[in-house]
Amino acid sequence: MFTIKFLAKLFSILRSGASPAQISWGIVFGMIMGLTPVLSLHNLVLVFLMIIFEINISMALFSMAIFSGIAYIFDPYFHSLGYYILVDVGSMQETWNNFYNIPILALSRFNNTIVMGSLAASLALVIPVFFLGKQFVVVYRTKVDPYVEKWKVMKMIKSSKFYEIYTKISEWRG
Amino acid sequence: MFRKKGIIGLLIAVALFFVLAYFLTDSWLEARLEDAGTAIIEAKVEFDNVDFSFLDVKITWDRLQVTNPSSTMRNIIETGKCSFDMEFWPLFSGKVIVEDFSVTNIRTNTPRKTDGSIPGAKKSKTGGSDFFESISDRLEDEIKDEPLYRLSQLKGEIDVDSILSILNIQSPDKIVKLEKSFEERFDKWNNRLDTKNYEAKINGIISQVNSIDVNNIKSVDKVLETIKTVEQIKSQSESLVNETVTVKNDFVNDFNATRDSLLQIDDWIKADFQSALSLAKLPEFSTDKIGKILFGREVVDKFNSYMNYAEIARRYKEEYLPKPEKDPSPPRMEGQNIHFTEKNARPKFWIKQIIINGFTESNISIEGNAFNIVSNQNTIGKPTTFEIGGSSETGAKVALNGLLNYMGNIPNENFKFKYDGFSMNSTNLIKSRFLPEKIDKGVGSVFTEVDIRGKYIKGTVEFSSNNLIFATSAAEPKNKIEEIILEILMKIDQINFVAKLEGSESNFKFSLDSNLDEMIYNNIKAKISGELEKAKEKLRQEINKQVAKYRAQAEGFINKQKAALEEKVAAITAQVDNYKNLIETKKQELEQKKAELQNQGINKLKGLIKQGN
Repeated sequence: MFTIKFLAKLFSILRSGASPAQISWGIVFGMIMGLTPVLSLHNLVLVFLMIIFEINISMALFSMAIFSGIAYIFDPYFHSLGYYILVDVGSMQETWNNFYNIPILALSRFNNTIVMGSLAASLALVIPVFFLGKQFVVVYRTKVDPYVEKWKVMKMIKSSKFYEIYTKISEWRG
Repeated sequence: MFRKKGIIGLLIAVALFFVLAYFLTDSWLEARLEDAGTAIIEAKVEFDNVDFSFLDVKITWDRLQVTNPSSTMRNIIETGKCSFDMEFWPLFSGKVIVEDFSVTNIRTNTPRKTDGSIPGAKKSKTGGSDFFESISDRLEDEIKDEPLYRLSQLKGEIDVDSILSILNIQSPDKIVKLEKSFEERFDKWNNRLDTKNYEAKINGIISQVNSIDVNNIKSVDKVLETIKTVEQIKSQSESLVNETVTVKNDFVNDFNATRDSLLQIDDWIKADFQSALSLAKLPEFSTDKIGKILFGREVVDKFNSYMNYAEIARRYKEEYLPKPEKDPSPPRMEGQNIHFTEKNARPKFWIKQIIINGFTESNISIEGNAFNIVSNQNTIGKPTTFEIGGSSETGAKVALNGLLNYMGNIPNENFKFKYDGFSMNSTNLIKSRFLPEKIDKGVGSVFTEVDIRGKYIKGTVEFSSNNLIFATSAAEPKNKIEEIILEILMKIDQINFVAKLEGSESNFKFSLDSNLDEMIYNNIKAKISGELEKAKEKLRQEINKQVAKYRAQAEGFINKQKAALEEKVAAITAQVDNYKNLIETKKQELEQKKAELQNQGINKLKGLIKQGN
């Protein structure tokens, strides 16, 4: 049941009216929010951006769920990367000192090894993930979707209540 | 590109946030301030009507009550209206920077309507630090008034016989055990000497040497052969001689401890005497205890208060952190916070100046300032200081100066408090069960200085009072001691004392000398101690009498056995010396014989040569 819901959600998003760029930005934003600790200042900024701009929120939530799991696995590596950036990179010490004493920036918790490590890793992945995501949506829609349409499981999904609700919400959200 | 609905929704959410914040901030802030203060003091800290102004970033409140943790129905301080401005932007860095903090109508030791204790708070006198707790505990030991209390409970003649009848004197048993242990030791030595049979062995060697008749030896070859035999006897008996030397040394070492063992008997008798005293509840009492018993509570409470302030300040100070060590496994998804601090950076918390005015408990108008209440003194390069003073119309003066310096490696706190010419009319003087509760009239002065550097404390309390008239009607003496003290107080009109405290946990000195020490001691000695000393002497004599026969028996036995053994060892030593002399003599005789025979031979040879010529 969970798998069906999961696939239903993924197929619904990919088949929605959102542009490949909007969906791809959703993947990117969800990736950043998923990899980094949720209660961080930059995630609040991302939420505001998602509300203001037409970024696919469903894909962002979907992506966030996936990347949260990945974040748990990579947690020790994020800690090491964050420690390296904050402590071992001597040339950055003055910058961090200044940041630490700048109002608001201090609230970002940039001095936490996990926040810094995961944010640095996710920022490094923004461009590749965006283009890969965009390409994936395009390829899916042009080549994969006609086949998927014929799958029995797809017909099951389409006839499921979840798909029905999701379609209604999508229509309501415009 | 833009979501219009999203932008509108966001604006509504932000507006809602500000509206709610405007209405709820005051109560939220009040709760936070109370929680923070309560956590620090470990007793209730209460603010009334906290108001936070968003526009000029100003906080005001109408009243603040800080409960005294050691007396939770009173406040250490209570203030009237207070206000302070905060710098706006540092708040976003989680930093509170206050330029001027105005505190009006501050009062000390005010009564509370409700109990200010918090459930589960530990009743610590000094805040829980090991060092301060240890000093406080030692001070408590110093001021125990048990000896004087026990003395005050003495009634009539002391029944020494009944005390002795229930006293289990331990010394005789211990002496018998000591005697037994010596008996075993003597047996061991006797066995060792007898089984080795040194005398017989040495005698055998001596007779072997004596059997060599030098006069019967007629040739040089025979002399040389006999010398060789003597050398052989000597080398064969070498190990026996060495053994006897070892035996002698072991014996001397073993029995050198005898004297120390016998000295233990005196300690056992002393212990029995102490048991008798505690059974009879007879205190050991000296003049230096008087001041501590009468005024110690007051002094120790003062020291505890200052140590408590120092402990709180130390608990909340921040230090520069060295390059942080990497935490190998921080809690999952939580990471490790790396702190960046540098000289001249803004501290997390900083009240630049507090302007104080108010009244003391005795209604003296006071005013003063406290400077640089700061979380990290190194960031601003200044220590925390405060100076508060005031005077009354009647001429009383009060001054409190303090320094909290955490800039170096060793924390340093210094407090000076001077209170001159205060009225003692209808006041409680001292928290002692031996002094009258009230004073009708009097004028007092007190000076306190406490300096704490790391784990070393030095403090002084000097108190003087004059023109004293005690409220005798309220205090009917309940026992002889109170009677004596009251009698003395009626004759004097001043009380002075000086208390000094200095040292660390391991090396600690506390003294308290008052002008009453000698007077009270002499009077107690004259009126009570005579009886007391007589009883003590009787107990001492009786214990000595009971122990004496066991002691004499043990000492007699030990000395006799020891002398016998010493005689045996001396005999063996004498035999060995005798044997050594004999060997040497025999060797000399043989050498002489050898020379003699050689001369005879030469002479004979010369005669033959002459005859041949």
